[in-house]
Amino acid sequence: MASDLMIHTKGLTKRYDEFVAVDRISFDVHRGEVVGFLGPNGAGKSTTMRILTCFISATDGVAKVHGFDVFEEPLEVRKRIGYLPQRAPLYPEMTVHEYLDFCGDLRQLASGETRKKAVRRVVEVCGLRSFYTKEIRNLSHGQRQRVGLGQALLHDPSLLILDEPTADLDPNEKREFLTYLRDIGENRTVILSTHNISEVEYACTRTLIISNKDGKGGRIAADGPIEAIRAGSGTVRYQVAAGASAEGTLPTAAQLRDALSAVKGATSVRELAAPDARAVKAEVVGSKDADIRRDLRDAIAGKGWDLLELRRELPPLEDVFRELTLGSDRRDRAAAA
Amino acid sequence: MNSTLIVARREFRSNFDSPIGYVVIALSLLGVGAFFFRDYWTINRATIYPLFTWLPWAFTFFVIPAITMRLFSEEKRTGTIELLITMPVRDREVVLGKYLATLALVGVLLALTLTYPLLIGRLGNLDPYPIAAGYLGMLMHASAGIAIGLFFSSVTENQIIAFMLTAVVLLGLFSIDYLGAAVGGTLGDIFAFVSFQRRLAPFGRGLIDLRHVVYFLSVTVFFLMLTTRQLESRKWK
Repeated sequence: MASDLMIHTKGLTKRYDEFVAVDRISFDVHRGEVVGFLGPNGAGKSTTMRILTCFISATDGVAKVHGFDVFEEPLEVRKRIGYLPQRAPLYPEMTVHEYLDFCGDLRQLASGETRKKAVRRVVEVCGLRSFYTKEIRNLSHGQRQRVGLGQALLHDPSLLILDEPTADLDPNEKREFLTYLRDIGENRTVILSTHNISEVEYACTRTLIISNKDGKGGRIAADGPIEAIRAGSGTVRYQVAAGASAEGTLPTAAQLRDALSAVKGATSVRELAAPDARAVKAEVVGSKDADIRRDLRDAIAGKGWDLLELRRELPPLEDVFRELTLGSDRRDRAAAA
Repeated sequence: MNSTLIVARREFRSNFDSPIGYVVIALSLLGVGAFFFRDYWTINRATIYPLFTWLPWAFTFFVIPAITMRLFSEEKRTGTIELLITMPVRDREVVLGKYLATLALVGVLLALTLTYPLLIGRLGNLDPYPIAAGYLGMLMHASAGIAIGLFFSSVTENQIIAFMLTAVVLLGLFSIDYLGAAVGGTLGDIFAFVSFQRRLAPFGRGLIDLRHVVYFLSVTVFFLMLTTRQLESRKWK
């Protein structure tokens, strides 16, 4: 196994009686990658993370962290990872200082100057200074989340596994934290599960989308850099904005939609909010293999309207995520809404 | 410091970071003290034997269920067990650490009851051997009881259920001797064999029978192993 291979999973499966939570997941993560683990609720993100951190065992398949099998050598794995579970569960009766000290003891961090330096670093990075001596029971959700992050970073692990780490942070704290993750990701490995696509776009070099579409067990639906996932969806979007005709008549949204829908290769058309009252805007979805910009232009010109904007672009990650993770019934409901 | 002791230290301190440790100790001392001195004046002799009559009942009904009920239930309910278990620590070290911390808490309670023999010792001559043996018996009883309570705390997230299960099982094991006497025969012998009361009584009279010590230690080890298996079972479920 290559030395920079931090995580290796093959055919990872977790079953609870008849229910399949994770279904034959295989992926590798290398040193220096910041991986966004995206998926809807119940898709198996947390289950996969719990297997990787040796909290639960897989029913089938292989999972190795730093080359150590999570089932055979759990202690070696746990020594090398920093883990923050969902909702940062902490002991409320302890102060932040006592809690970090307790974690330092369990992680066998040398006492004295080394320990002090490690604590000072996480206090600084996670912004714990103002409530360092307070009992955890008196902290806000966001502050607790930061303490949870602190314990995960305390031993300076080369692999961080974070389950929705930004759930309780305010927008400023989120941005600071994600910037920090992006920075440390240069020589460490981070797996970050989240529902928030913009966080993945901001901080992650790679995205893993896990889906339990149509009630099946969680499977990897997409894996790669964000641009590659967007390109791999097979569709493109055209942003079209039309202005008034020579007679000064502005098309209605329905008229524009009908005109664009008639273009060969336009699979769907939806109205968009126009930037001002002098334009009507729509988005056309078409195949990635064809370029229908000329046809769209001709359709606008044919109606005598003024073409104000025409842009071809890859679909946003959010649309790809919906495409990959929404079951057919939910997709129909979403479309109807 | 090894992981077991680190877990034990945190667990022991947590008893005094909430009212639970103080409440259990205060109520036990009040209750047992009241019964002890009532019997003491009736007997009218310098002995602390009544202490070893009432402490086991207090342990059975209240002390052990109350101090063990939250050990795993609370950690499971709040999710802290996930962070603890994913630290570089073995499941058995977590179980042993919690057991030692709780035994230490009982040790504090027993140490405070030493005021009774010290007080009685001023009124008359006390034989130290039955006292030492009685305290050893109480520790043995507490050890087995804590292991049982630890197990029931690991099977449920509900502290009340853990309390009830522990109290019922401890009461059954303590008083099964009465049933043994009633049914007689082989079944009666079996009941007498497992009875905590039957095995505890000689300690109060100053007799340390190794068979009874081994019995209590065996119950302790058995339930600690069962708790460890129960904790590990999260992996397979």
